[in-house]
Amino acid sequence: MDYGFLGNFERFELMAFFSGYALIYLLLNGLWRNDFSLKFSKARLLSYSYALTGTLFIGYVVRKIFINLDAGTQVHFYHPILYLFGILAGLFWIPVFSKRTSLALLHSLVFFALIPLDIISYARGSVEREQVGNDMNVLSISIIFNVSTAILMFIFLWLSQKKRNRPENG
Amino acid sequence: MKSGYQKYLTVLLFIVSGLGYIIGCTHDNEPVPAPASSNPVITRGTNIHLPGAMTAGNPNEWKLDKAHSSVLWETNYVGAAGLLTGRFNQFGAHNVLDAEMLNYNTTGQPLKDTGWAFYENEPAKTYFSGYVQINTSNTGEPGRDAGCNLTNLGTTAIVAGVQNLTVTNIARIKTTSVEFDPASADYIVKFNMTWKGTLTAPVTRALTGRLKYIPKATIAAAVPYDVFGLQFKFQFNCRDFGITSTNISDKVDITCNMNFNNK
Repeated sequence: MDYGFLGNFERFELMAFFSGYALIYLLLNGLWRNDFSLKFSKARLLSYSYALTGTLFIGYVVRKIFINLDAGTQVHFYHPILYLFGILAGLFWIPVFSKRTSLALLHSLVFFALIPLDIISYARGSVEREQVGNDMNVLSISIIFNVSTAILMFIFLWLSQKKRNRPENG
Repeated sequence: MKSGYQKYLTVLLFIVSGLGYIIGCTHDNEPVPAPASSNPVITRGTNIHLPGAMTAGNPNEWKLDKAHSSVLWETNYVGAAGLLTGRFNQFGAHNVLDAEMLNYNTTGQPLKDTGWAFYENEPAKTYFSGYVQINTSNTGEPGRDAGCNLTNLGTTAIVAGVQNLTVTNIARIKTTSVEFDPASADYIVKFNMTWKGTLTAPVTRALTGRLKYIPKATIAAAVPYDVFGLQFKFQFNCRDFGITSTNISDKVDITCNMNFNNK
């Protein structure tokens, strides 16, 4: 599918934030052992790390809008629906959503699905191989990004747990 | 989500990702093109121009068109200012032997201009000889040309109706090798220049110049004919030949514009 240069760029932005989460989610779910002496659940970790990713994305969008406003140019989104959908990731801070981790997985799968769509398009000859190559580069970046947010959230939750476990002095 | 579905989903996602990586990373990208050569594209033809016996009407024998040719010189006035320029009114393309260095009672060319051969694509076969009559140097100032110039250049005044090819009045060049110029379509010419100047006997100096070939073209006329040109540029140090005048710099540039036709 040909989105044009800027359209493709926006797709890559969205994929860079969200597409890697699905793999992280499935890996963590598969590897996570309950015998870890942690008081917080993996569901909490997964949801909050995705919420952190969503928050960073919102920050990115806001920055983008302000840069355009400063430059006096009109803000234009080539994939407004996907952008709005991406912003919804911020909702995973809210317990109602954070309890349902599979919603985060589904949310991420929407962006991951762009990869098989491009693979199919490549197989049908409507996109160049470079498009798939670019998708995979962005997926790699997204995996690193989502691992980072998960590590950050893990550290944050672990420090919070430690603080709560500390005995009260005097 | 049930763990069974999750397993399938995990496998599916990893298969898709792996497939994507394999498609996107096959290492068979087109090789980076070789850097563009900095060498110029030089196209040379295969023209051969020979004077033969210079028989009029023979299109295979090329004649020097002296009336439309020139030998120009230029040097910095007083060695520091702008150019002082002039031309030689009498010159030719003949290998003047010592025995031929005489006064000729003629107003035309004293010797046949047959001292050359040009092979566009075989420079080793190319050669040429030439001469100028020093006292015909023409700067457009008759007082200078027929005055101090004669003394400064060690020669004698022009005698009407006489072509003076004697040793005091002739400067000669003769090629020793002609090669392709690798940086242009020109030719690098090594040659000897012989001139007495103000010295007691002629001196020969080995010099290098640049020869440019202006390819053959057909001129539309009642009887069409062909022309081509040779432009030869070089410079020499006039002090090598005993020229002491400080009105000119050491270096003198010479440009020979030779036009030929096959009429």
